[in-house]
Amino acid sequence: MKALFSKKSLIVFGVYLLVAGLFPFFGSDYFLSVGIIMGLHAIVTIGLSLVMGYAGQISLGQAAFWGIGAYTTGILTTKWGMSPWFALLIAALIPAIAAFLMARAIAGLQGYYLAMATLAMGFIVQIVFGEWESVTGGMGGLVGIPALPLFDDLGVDFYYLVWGMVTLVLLFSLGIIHSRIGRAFRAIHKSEIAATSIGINVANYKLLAFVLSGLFAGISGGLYANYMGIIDPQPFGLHESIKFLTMVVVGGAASVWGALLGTILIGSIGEVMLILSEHFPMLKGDMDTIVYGAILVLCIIFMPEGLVPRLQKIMAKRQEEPLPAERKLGA
Amino acid sequence: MKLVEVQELSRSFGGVQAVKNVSFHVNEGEIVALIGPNGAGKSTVLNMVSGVIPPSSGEIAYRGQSLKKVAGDRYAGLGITRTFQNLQTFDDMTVLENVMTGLHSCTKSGVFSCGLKLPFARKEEEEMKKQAMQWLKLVGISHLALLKAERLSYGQLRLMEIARAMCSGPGFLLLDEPAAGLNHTETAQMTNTFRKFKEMGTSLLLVEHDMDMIMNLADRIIVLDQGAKIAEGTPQEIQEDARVIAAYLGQEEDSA
Amino acid sequence: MTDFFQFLVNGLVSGGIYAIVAIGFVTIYQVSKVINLAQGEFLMLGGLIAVTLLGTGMSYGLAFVLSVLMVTLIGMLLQRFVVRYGPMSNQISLIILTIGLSILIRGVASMFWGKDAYALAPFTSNEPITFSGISMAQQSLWVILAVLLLLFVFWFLMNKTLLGKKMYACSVNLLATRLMGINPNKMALLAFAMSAASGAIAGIAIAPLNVTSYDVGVMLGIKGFSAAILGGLQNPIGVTAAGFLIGLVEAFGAGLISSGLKDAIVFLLIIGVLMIKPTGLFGEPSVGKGGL
Repeated sequence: MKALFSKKSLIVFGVYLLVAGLFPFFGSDYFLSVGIIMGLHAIVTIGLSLVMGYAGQISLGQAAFWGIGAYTTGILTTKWGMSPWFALLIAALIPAIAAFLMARAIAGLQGYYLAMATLAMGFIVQIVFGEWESVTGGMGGLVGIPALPLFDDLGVDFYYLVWGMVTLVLLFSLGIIHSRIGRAFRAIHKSEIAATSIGINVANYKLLAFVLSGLFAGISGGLYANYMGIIDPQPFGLHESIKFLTMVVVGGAASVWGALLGTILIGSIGEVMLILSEHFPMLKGDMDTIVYGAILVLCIIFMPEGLVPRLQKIMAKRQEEPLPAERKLGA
Repeated sequence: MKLVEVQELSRSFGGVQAVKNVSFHVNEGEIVALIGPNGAGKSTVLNMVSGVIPPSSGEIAYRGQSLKKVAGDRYAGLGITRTFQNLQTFDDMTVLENVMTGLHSCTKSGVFSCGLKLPFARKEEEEMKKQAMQWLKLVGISHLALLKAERLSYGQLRLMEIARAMCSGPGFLLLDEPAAGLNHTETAQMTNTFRKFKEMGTSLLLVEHDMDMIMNLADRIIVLDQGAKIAEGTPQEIQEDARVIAAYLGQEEDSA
Repeated sequence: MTDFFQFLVNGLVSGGIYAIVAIGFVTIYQVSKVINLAQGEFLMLGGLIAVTLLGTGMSYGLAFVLSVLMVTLIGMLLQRFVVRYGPMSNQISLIILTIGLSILIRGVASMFWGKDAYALAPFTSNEPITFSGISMAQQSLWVILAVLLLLFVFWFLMNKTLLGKKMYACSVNLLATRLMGINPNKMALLAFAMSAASGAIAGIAIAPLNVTSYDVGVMLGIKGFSAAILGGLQNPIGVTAAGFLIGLVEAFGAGLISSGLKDAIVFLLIIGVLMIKPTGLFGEPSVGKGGL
C-alpha cells in the first residue's frame, strides 16, 4: 500500500505550511494585509490554473467571477441583512453557477474565439456592477459590508482564515489533478480527438474546469468583500483579469504550485514597485504596468511553461537516468 | 455473429467524394484489414466507424445498435476504441498515466471524491494503476511506466497508445496504421500482441500498408480504391484478385 | 428622424474605425496565425505622436506622415524582435504574449505622455457641417474618407497585387509557400507594417473627434478584435461588415437604450452570435464529433 503523498510533495507542502504559517510574525500590519490580499488572489489563480494549465482553455474574464462573489456577499449582507457566513456560502455558489452558464454557452469555442467570449463576459459583468444602481450601488459601490463573525478584527486571525482556505483549495486541486478528472483535463488539453476516443466528454470537462474556477473565485471574492468592507466595480475588470493571468503564466499554468508561486511573485513585485516609487518619483505612473507587460512578454518567449514546471524540468534533468533496459515482450 | 455492420457508408469533403457506398461487416473475434492505395479512403472509413467524423450518409451498427445518434465520447463506453495514425498521445503525462486515461469510461469517481481523496476514489485509482500496469506488461513496455511519454521512441508510443485503447476491454478496436514507422522486429512483436487481443475476444479492424503483417494476421481483407470497395476476401483470395493487382499496379506502391 | 441620422453617422464613424482595426487583425492573422492584441496601441501611438510632433511647430501634413512612419516602424520592430520568437503553435500563449506587448506599450506611453488627455487639432476647421438639422463634425467626414481610402488600399493590395497573393498563400499553406521561395517571416513583417500603418492613420483621424490619451487603445483594440472575431477572422469583407455592425449597434444602443450599457450590448451581441456560430458570422465552421 502506497502512502497518500510522496516524500517530495510532503517536503514541499511542509515548507509551504511553514512559510505561510510564520509570515504574520515577521511583518507589520501592512505586510499582514499584503499577505491577506495575496492569499485571496492565490485562491483565484489556483482555480484559473485548472482552466488554463490543465484543461488548456483561456479566461480573460476571471475577475468577473471574483467580482460576482464579492457583490453577492456585499448585496446579501448590506441589503438583505443576511449573516456573513451564510452569505459567503452563497457567494461561492453564485459565481460557480455563473461559470456554469457561461461555459455552457461558449463550450464549443476554441482559441481566439474563446478568448473573445470570456473577454466580453468580463466586460458585461463589470458594466452591470456599475450600471445596476438599485442593487449594486452603481459606481459608488456598496459600503458597510460586515466582517465575518469570529474573524472580525481583520488581523492575524483573518490572515489564517484566508490561508487556511488557500490550503484547502490547494489540496483539493492537487487531489483532482492526480485523479481521473485531472487526467481528463490534461487529455483534452493535448488532443480533444484522443480524449473523445477514450470516452471523455470534452465539453463537460471544460465546463467542470470553469465551474471549479468560478467556485474558487467566488470564495475569494466573498472573503474580499468581508475584508474590505466596501466594494466598487473598479477592481473587477480587465486589468485585474490580466493580472490573474500574469500570475498563472509566470508561475506555470500547468502547476497548482506554480499558480501559488506566481501570485506571490507578482504580488511582491507590485509591493516593491510601490516602495521604489516612493523614493524615485519618476517611477510613478504606470511603472508596474510596464513591469507586468515585460514579464509576460519575456516569460512567453523564454519560459513559456512558467517557473515551477521549468524548475521541475531542471531537477528532473539532473537526475535523469538512461531509459531502463527493455525486458522480453509479453511478460 | 456480426459485431459491426457498415452499410452504404459515404462521405464527401467539400464536393470530393472520399468514400462511396462502402458496406462491410466485422464478426466477433475477427481481424479485418482495410487496405488500398493512398487516398483510397481507408482512414476516412476508420474515422467514421470510430465516431470521429460523421458520415454523409449510411449506417453503422455495433451489436445491432445504430451509432447514428451516439456522441463521440460514448463510443468507448460501448466498447469501441481506436488508435491514431499520427499518434495522439499525452506527452506531458507518464506512460502509466497515459494508459490510465484509457480507463476513463469504466471508472466513475466524481470531482468531490477525487478532490477530497475519499476512500472510494483512492481505491479506484489504485485499481486503475494495477490494471494499466497489466496492459503495459502485455504490450511489453511496463519498464517505462513512470517515464514521461515524451521520452519514448515512436514504436514505444504506438504500443502505449494501443495499451490505452485496450485497457477498457473493448469489444472492437480500430487501428490506423499501427505498424507505420516500426522496424521488422517491432512489427513482428506487434502482430503477436494483436493475436493475443483476438484470443481475448476483441475484434480488430486495421488500416495498414505492411502487407506481410496483413497477410499474416487478417482473417479477412477489404480493399478500397478511390473511395469504393473493390474486393473482399481471405488473404489468399485477395492476393490473386485481378482488380486488386490492377489497383495497386496503377501506382507504384512501396510497402516498406 | 434627425436622431436617427445622428446615430447613423456616429455608428458609421466608429464602425469604420473598428473595421480598420479589425482588418489589421486579419491581415496579421492570415499571414502568421497571430492575433495581435496590441493592435489598439497603434491607434493610440498614432494620435499621441501626432500631437507631440504638431507641438514642435511642424506642419500638419508632415506630422501626419512622420507619425504614421514611426508607428509603422514600431510595428515592424515588434514583429521582428518579439512576436517572431513567440510560440507559433499555441494560440493561448500568443494571446498572452500580445496582451503583454500591449500593456508594455501602454505603460511606456504613460511614461512619455503621462496620464493627461491631449487634444489633436482637426484636419480642417472645427466648424460642424449642418445639413437639414443633422450636424456633423467635419472631422467625421475625414474619418469616413480615411476609412474608405484604407479599405480600398487593403482591397487593392490583397486582390490586385502579387504581394497580396503571396500573403494569401501564407494563410493557405505555410509549408508550400516556403517551398515556393516566399519567406513567411518577411510576409509577417509586412503584415505588421500594414496593420501598424493603417492603425496609425485611423488613430490620427479619430483623435480630433475626442481627446486622446495613453489608454485609448484598449477599447479601440478590443472593439476591433470583437469585429475581427464576429466577422470570422478570415474574410476582410466579413470583418469590415462586422466592424460597421458593431459601430452601429453601439451608436444606436447608446442613443436609444443607455450610453452606459452600449458596450454591454455589443458584447452580448458577440456572445450571442458565437453561441450560434462558433467561428463568427463569416468564418468556416469546424466539423466532427470529436472536435476535429
